[in-house]
Amino acid sequence: MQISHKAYLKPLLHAAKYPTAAVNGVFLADASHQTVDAVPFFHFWNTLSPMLEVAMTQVEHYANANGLRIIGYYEANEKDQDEALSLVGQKVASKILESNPEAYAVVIKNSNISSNEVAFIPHQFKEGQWRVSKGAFTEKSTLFTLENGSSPALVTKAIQDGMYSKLADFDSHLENVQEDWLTNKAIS
Amino acid sequence: MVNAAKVLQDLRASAERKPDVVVRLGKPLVESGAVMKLDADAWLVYEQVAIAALDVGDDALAQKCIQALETKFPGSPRVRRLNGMELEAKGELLEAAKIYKAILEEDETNVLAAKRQVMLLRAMGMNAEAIAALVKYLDINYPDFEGWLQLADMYMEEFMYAQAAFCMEEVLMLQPQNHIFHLRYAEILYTQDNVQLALKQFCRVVELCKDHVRGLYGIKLCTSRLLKSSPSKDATATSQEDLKAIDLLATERLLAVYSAGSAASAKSASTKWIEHL
Repeated sequence: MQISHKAYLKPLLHAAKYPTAAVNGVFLADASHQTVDAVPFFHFWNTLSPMLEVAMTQVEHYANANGLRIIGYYEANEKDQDEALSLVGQKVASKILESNPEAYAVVIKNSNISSNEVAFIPHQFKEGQWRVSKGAFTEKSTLFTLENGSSPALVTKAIQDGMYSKLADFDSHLENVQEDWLTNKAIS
Repeated sequence: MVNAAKVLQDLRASAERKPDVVVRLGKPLVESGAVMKLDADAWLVYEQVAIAALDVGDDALAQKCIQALETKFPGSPRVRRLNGMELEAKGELLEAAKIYKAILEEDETNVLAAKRQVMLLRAMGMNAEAIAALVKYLDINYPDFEGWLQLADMYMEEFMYAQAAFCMEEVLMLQPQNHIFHLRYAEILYTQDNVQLALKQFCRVVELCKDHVRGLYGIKLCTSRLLKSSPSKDATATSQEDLKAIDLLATERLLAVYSAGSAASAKSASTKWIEHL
């Protein structure tokens, strides 16, 4: 599973924009099963279902129209050291798994956001539960790789430059429909 | 200096938390000793600057302020609470918890200590204890709607939706005109599968705040589910005719809001969402 720069950048900008909130969203893959983009969902509250239903369905429509599929889920927890996949996260990821056997879930490692280490902790569904994929993003691994090896350094720079202020999630789109949450064209 | 004192006073009055501003204005006052010229206000400024200094991580400044207050008011619970916050900032959470506990044992109505205790327990991941402490606090301080909101949040994190809904009912008794509170209540009700009541609350949101997009989406979710299920025999339930009318109106408003200006991708996805719901 290869993660494009955009798909690595957007979730981390999302977490950087709302450092004291839990944030989440989904990943999109192209026809060759590579993760090419991410769509940020929420930062207000994420344990309530109505707007999650709306967001998921709208992303599906957007993906279908653009030859993409929802392939994964991401979240960053409110507490700095918390690196477990939340119950809501497990539920959403399992939903994605129903239509996509390659589905995965990423927990963002908050302490690695502005560092040269990879800040994604990918989980896959094995033996009946969501487990951390061991050895992801290491040189030996082919399971999870970054398309652009310098993504972590570029993200650090982007956060320093305040690029996260341009990122829109579905929560902010609901407050102002001009916010471009599906493509986030201002982010590249 | 008079201006700085005035700005600090205004910030205290409005309860705005702008730690960077408070430290920038307050630090010279404290360090030069000029703060004492403010007479009785001096101690309020010390307290304000201490909290702001902790927020921005200026530990030396915080300590200087807290020491001055300790000398003036030895043993005061209000100052001991600052000691607790100082320990929290240093990461000594258990020590801080002991201070709040001691203050509350002497006086269970101490609002500041009770609130700090709740947030501290939460930060330590002790959610059940934090909830119990907040329930106890609200027993004494019923009209604190922010406390009820916080409790609703904590129940939501534990997926205890019935309890969260109860808290939002208390919030709405105290603050009936705020559409955001109706919205949160509506989303909790929908999550609990109480679609009939959720619809009424989403409608209230749009009534209080015209063309509220989140409220309109909520209405559509409810009407489409209720129209698909067999008509309710409950006399208080919204009739099928009314459901259709509400649904149509919400659709119209959503389409109008999106036509007024949004990215092509968002507009197309929302239109498809409406068509396929």
